[in-house]
Amino acid sequence: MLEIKEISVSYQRHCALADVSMTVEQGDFVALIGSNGAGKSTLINSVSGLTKISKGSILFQGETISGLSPDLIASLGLIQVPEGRKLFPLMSVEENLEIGAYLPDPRKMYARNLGKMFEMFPRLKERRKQSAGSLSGGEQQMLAIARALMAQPILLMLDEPSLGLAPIVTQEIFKILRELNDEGLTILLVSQEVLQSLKISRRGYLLENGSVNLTGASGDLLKDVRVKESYLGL
Amino acid sequence: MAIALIGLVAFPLFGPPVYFISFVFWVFLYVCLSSSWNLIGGYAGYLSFGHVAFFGIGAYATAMIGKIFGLSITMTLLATIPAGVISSFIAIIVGYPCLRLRGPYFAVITLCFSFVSQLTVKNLEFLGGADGLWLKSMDVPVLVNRTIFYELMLFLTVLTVWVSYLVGRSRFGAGLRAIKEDEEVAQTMAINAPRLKIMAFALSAFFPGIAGGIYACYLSYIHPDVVFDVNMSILQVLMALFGGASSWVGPVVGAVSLTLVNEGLSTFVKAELARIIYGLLFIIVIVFMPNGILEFFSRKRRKIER
Repeated sequence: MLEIKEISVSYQRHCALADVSMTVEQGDFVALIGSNGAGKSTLINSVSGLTKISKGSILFQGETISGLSPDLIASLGLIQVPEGRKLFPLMSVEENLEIGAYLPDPRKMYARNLGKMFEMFPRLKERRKQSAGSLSGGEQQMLAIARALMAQPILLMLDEPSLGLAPIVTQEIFKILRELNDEGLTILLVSQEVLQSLKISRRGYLLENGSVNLTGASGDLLKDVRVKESYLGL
Repeated sequence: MAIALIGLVAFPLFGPPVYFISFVFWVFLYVCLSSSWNLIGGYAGYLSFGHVAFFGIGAYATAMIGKIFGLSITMTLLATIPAGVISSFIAIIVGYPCLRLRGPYFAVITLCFSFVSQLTVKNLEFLGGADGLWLKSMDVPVLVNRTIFYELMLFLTVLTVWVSYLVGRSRFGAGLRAIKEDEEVAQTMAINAPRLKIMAFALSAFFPGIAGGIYACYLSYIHPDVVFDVNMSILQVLMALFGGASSWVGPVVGAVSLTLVNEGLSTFVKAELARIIYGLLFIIVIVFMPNGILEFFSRKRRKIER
């Protein structure tokens, strides 16, 4: 479904990604792991069109999307939950969800999807009239995910959804992602939470210094000596 | 609402002094200007400080259409509609590069745009240059004349406020609000920010263009210093912010209250003192009510209710 073919990205002279290739299949749950500054966010932002790539190409459902504007890419069903949540803080919870359903098709399904979201995240329902900025960190992350889901994504990309959250909230959010994937949603997850994200995903890519150093089924990656030593502290 | 509207339409029939009709004409003009400014400045958060340019362009476009085709004054009034279109068209051309800039940069470039358009008109011989342009005047008694312009401006103002209300409730308005809060994120939510901004800018130039045309016929003489007056740009911004720029009501309340205060002060207090009080009022509102008086008072009421 998503094919990233040998893309490179550089910020001025610093090379952030070098010849990175990656694929995400329909129904897949891919975890992209790595430490700070490995290029994970750069990769996800290149797919969203927020970062321009200098080499290579990105294909989504067989069509080239590299070079398109972010709003066009989003309208194809490639929706990102940005790092740090990036809600519209002054708008209410409901208004945020309304913006999520901005495109004509999701807008038609607004009422139904809104009900679904409130079912999935009951706490958002309680706070529907409150401004997004007044929510707790965990609630904000849930709202960010719900806002993205309102757009009826074909591929959901999440950038560090566990950032700054208590372990118990992180678990809750990861559990929801697992359920969404079980229902058939394709997910690309970027995270520093190596252990947890490998536990819930199907496949994993390890990104180090701007290139993919290891890839395979998540279970296999968990057993890999390199991953164990560098990221799991075992 | 409907009763208030009928009252406003019927107001000149009760035979008020000409002064009052002219004064209310000014109130309408400012409601129209600040409401249309609010489409780009309030909803999308792009503070245009040169919006008077579109007022001036509308005034000159109307005058020139009338002059070139030798139209009667009634026909010239109809020419305000193409003048509004010309205003919008220029807004699209100017907005395309300018709307890439944000925050203070956008404010400064729009301010420059209004100065440049004023200087251009001043230096173009066929537009009357620094001498200004004369229009035909209506051959009717003053009271009738004023009443006609009163009703025209009332109609335009109601139309503007209605459009501003509709935009605020629409998907278009939701997109603009998202752009105001965070443009990058808005784009990742499939909102075509550049196109929405241009559309809002063009729409916000349309009504001032027509208003400028009506104003030109009203005065029957236009001069670059009058219809491109930078004070007008600043006033419409302040009025919208004074009332509260996030909804359609804010600019209406702001424009009405500030015009009333200004007129009241200049009538009852010495002119110098009036300016000082007027300035102080702005400082108070900006410091203590940064989201406008409407939100300030509605928040207070909510507190009391609790």
